[in-house]
Amino acid sequence: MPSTPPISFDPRDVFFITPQVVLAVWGLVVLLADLALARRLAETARRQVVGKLALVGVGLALAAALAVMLVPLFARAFPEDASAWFRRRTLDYLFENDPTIFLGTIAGDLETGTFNLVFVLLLGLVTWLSLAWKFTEEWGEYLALLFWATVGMMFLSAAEEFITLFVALETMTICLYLATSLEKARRRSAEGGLKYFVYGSVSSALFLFGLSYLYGITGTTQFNAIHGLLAGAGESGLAGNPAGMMAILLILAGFGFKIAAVPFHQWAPDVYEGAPAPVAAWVATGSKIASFVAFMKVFANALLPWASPGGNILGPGWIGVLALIAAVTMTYGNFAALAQRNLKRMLAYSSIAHSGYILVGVAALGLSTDGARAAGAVLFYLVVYSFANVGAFAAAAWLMRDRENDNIDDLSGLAREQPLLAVCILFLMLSLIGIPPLAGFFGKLYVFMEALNQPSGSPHAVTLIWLVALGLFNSVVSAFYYVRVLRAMFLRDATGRRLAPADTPVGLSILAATAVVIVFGPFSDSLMSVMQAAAAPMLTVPATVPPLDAPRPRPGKVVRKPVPRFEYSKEEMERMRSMANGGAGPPGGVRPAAKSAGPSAKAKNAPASKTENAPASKANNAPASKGALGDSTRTPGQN
Amino acid sequence: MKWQAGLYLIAVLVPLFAFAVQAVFLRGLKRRCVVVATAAVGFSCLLSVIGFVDYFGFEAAWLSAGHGVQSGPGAREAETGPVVWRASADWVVLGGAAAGTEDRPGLTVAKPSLVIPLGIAVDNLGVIMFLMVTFVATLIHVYSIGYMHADPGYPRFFAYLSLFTFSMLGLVASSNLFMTFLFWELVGLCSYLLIGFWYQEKANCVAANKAFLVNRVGDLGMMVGLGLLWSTLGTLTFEEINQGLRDGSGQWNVKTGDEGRDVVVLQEARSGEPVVNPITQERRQIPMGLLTLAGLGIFAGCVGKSAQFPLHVWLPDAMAGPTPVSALIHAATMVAAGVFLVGRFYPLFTEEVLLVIAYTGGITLLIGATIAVVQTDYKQVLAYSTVSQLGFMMLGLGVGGWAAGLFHLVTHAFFKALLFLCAGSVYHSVHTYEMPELGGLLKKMPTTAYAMLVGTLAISGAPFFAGFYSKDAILTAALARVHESPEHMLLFVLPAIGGVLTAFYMFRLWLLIFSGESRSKHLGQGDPVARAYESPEIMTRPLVILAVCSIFVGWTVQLGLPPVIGPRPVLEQMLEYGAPAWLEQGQGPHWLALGASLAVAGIGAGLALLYYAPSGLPHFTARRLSAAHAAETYPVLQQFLLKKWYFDPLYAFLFVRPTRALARLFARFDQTLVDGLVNTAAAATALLSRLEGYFDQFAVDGLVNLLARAVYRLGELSRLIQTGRLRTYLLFLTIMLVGLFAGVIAWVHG
Repeated sequence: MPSTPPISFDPRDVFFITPQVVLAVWGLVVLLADLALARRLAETARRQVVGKLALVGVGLALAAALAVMLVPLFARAFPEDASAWFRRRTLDYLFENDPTIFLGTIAGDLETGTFNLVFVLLLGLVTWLSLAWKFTEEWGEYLALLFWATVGMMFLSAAEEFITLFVALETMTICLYLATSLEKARRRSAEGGLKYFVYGSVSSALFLFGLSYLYGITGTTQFNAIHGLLAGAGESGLAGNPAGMMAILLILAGFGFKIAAVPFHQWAPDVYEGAPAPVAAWVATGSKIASFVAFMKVFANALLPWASPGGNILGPGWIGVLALIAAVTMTYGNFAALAQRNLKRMLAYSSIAHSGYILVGVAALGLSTDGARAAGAVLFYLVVYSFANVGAFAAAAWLMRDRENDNIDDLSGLAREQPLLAVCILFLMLSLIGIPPLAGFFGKLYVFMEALNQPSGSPHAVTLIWLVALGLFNSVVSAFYYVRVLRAMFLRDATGRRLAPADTPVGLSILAATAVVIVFGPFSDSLMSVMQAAAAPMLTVPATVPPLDAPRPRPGKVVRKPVPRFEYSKEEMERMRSMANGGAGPPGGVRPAAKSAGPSAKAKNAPASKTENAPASKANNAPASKGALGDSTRTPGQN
Repeated sequence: MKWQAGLYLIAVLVPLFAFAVQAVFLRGLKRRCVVVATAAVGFSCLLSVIGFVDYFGFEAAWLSAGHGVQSGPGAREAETGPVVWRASADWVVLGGAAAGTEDRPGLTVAKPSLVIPLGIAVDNLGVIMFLMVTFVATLIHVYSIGYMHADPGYPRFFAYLSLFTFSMLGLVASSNLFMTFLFWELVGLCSYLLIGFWYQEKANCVAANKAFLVNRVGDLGMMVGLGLLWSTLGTLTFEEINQGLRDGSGQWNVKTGDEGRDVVVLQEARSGEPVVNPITQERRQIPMGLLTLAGLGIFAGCVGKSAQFPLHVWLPDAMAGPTPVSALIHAATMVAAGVFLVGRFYPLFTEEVLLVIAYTGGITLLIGATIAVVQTDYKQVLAYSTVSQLGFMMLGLGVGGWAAGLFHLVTHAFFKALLFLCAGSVYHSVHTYEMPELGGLLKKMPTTAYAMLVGTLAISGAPFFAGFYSKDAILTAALARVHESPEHMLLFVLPAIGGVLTAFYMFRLWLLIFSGESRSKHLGQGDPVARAYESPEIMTRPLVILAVCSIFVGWTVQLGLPPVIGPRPVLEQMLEYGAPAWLEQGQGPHWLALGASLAVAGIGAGLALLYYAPSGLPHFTARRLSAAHAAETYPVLQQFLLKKWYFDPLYAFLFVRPTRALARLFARFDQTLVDGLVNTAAAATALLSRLEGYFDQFAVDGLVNLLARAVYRLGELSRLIQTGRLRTYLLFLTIMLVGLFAGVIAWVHG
């Protein structure tokens, strides 16, 4: 073991968490502004002022998210132009071959960039929807909690290490507990919040307990390192390893709670029904996306060697458990949704069912030979599902505002009163059922195709075919309760109070969601390719897998590599450009791994090179590059 | 995409556009439909002329290539082939990523295993066919303005014509068999619509149905062939299959397959690499037997469309449609589509299939010609003549005369359209199709008469007329084939006899209609000839133009000298330029063939003159033959031919009547058994209704409600655990988790 250099982190890493920083700070700004200034205003005016202020924050976060996503892409695509814009050090940093930041605890790559953007967009819709009507008095607190929950989501989807993951998870969930119970006038809100909190705390405890087992087994919390260690341990998997099995099940329980998978789902209907519609939307979409991303990182990266040892789906691995949970979840969610009369409660059960479908995709990911494609399918489903759900919850918010009730029957006669929005909701429901050519159909198609896309004759194929068949059957069942919404809107006469025309918050949310499900139906492959590109760096593993008896890397242990500080030569420029164009450059020394050797070799001959400011190269030597399309993905089937 | 491909795309789509305009604004346009239709087809014709001039004037070095053939097949640039203008877009992509998706890091895009393209490919054959179709169609549009003038269905007629023009051009332009099949059915539909154009008369509807149903029989075979090719080769593109199955010298790319059977492997035309299915990585190949079967299937479709034996029976009945339609669809273009497809897909056909094609053509031409000899309805004569001439073309293709058969297709289109239009002109004037009632029309309608004489000379194969050159080419090819394998002697004898008969019945037709005196003089006022008058100019102008074409399209550059003396006809060389490289074309001038064609035409025409020439001609008084006498001498033969070889009664006995009997049986089954059952059931129902009322109330409603309730109860079961009490939730969580642990531990250790 070479002597370890001191631990240090690169302050430039902060660039990659700008959206989080903006949102965190702006949450405070909103809170203070509400306390100090807006309290004196009338209720409506206060809501509008604080709400607009919050939307400004969302706009800033959007700009930051775009910058974080696009600047590295820009620098890599046009290194020459970029050298005019940035200092040499910055450019060196952007070209570094390391997707992780802050000592390898979180990722700063295309995946986080993409999902920061998705979170900010969804947050914008949810925030805007919140301004529709008065459901709480603590506007400052409410909006700040939404923002901070979002910060948690962003970190959660970026986490590359279990401690960070847990802290991010708690940040997100605790904010959501509070936001759920902020509608103080309704008893159900407080009740839902309490149930959410207690249930969530128990789950967190189980999760943390599972983590402790895992740490005990591997001695590290880094995903990549865990993967390497487990992969080095051979093919036996969980067989004869009760500790590993405990860890898996407990971690599964923790994630199962977050994604509302049966049997960890029971909080969901009460919380969705009790929470204000925007919060319910945020629980159902943002928190679900973040949890699934983290879920995939943990299971399809860190714990992948335990997926299906020996290539047998029914061998001692997590795939079998996951397939079982997926089957139960989608069936239970759909059948329970049939009996619901309340729109939000129905959406709660349907979101349980959707978790089941997505779990099929995760199971397929665990077996897939092309991880990026399988994970891309899941991410595609998540994004499309989230937008459709925000639109559906906007309809619920609308009902709540004007009829003070959100039963499905309250939608009666909507088609005659508001034909445009009724047609929009029609599209949303059809997309949720999965009717072509809407995006929801393609989501299901991609996920199920991935599940079916196994080598024929393998035992996986048979199991997954049954799973897909069950999914298709469930899709048919789901049509019943979604169509009930449509029946109320289009075939029933209006009852009760007339709905006031939807104002911007409600209308915008529904229209935006509809636009997404319509546009990404026929043009599904564009979104799909973005999602596949985003999924690639998510599933990276260390280039070299240390054997089990080798000294275990500890988190934070870093190896510094000097980076030269002189002009890029023409040759290097060429190399960068070819790298940015997808790696097909001149033969020899153009692949990223070899590239990092190039400058350091040069550095030995360069007397002027200074090393004190060189960015640390982390323990993770993954070939994927920061912020760019990773051009090398792992193939899990070969591990 | 070259601009020429766009040009032809427009030429195809303009008639469709015209059809759409006419269909949508039918009521508004009324008689102005004709302007839209004619302008559209005229515009397509103009584009075709431009394309033709560009192709043969600038693009293709066809003349040198043609001469190359004459100096030996090896001299041609076999690899390059003819110039082809293509445009294509993938329509249906199966088993791969969508079009336009590219490989990128982390995402390898699989090439689709099956693609159905929408595309056009215009080669020299296409260019010539385009010009022929649009030119003839334009003239017939113009002619129809006069012919259909008084018809109440005038606008509908032109709408159908536009649709037909579009379909026919699409058929000619399509780059793959799938699209060809679509347009194939579309032209069939147009044919059906136009045969039954005067649907008020039942006979016309029956004829339309007959045409449609007989074509279905052929199309069944076509679909079998299509399916075989699609499932084995994974492509239907003509070019890929034509160039992929054989090597440069025309040998099949045969590999011995796994089971010891010979399979033909589809190869990349350029590289010679076997084409593989991108997903399974299996070679695309077809066993030799299946290839023959596929060829026979495709040919079955062509048999139906081109009215070949044994499916020729629909074409004579199709004359129920308006005469311009007969000229355009059932003489010049659509019926030639079968021949066209055989030519287009020529390299697919194995030796056996080609022999079948040749014999089918030979039998057809004999049947058609013999029947035409005795018919008294002059449109029927022309119909059987068409059947016979299509047989000539098929025979030409079958014996290896690729260019000869297609050459005859083009020349035939001109003179047969001319003949039909002349017949229409006659009918327009005299309102009868019966030749025995006519005679002596030469004086009344001279333009029509002389135009028809040109057509007659052309089809009979008189020297310096188009038909002479094409028929000579076919005879040459047949002679070469017979020389190669003398046991197929019939392949030369049949067309020779057919040629004699052709000249005979055509001169008979012309003489009976135009020469001598009217045979209906005894009718006085009722004499159709007395009332006859020359057709309006809008009808006679197209006749003149077509008559001119019927002469010169067959010419060589040296003013129509026969090929033995001068170079071979220009059009034939143009066609030959695109012939399959390995096929030995233009075996060269042949005195025997030339003599045969001259003799054939001379004997036929002479016999006709002996039988039917009007009395009073110089040198013809001495010895005359009498048709009536001949009929008395051979009454059986005459009846046999008059009854058209008894095909219709035979088919009626074999197929139609059994089918109808079966239908009647089913109907009776329906009436007696099913209806009886229903009636009994109704009575029983009436009796039981009261009882059922009670039953309904208690049992059925109860059951349905029970079912519905059960489904929802299943949902509401969730309420059992979804109590709303937090402690129940946590209890449930604990139980489930413990259960999960227990299960998984048992599983892992078990």
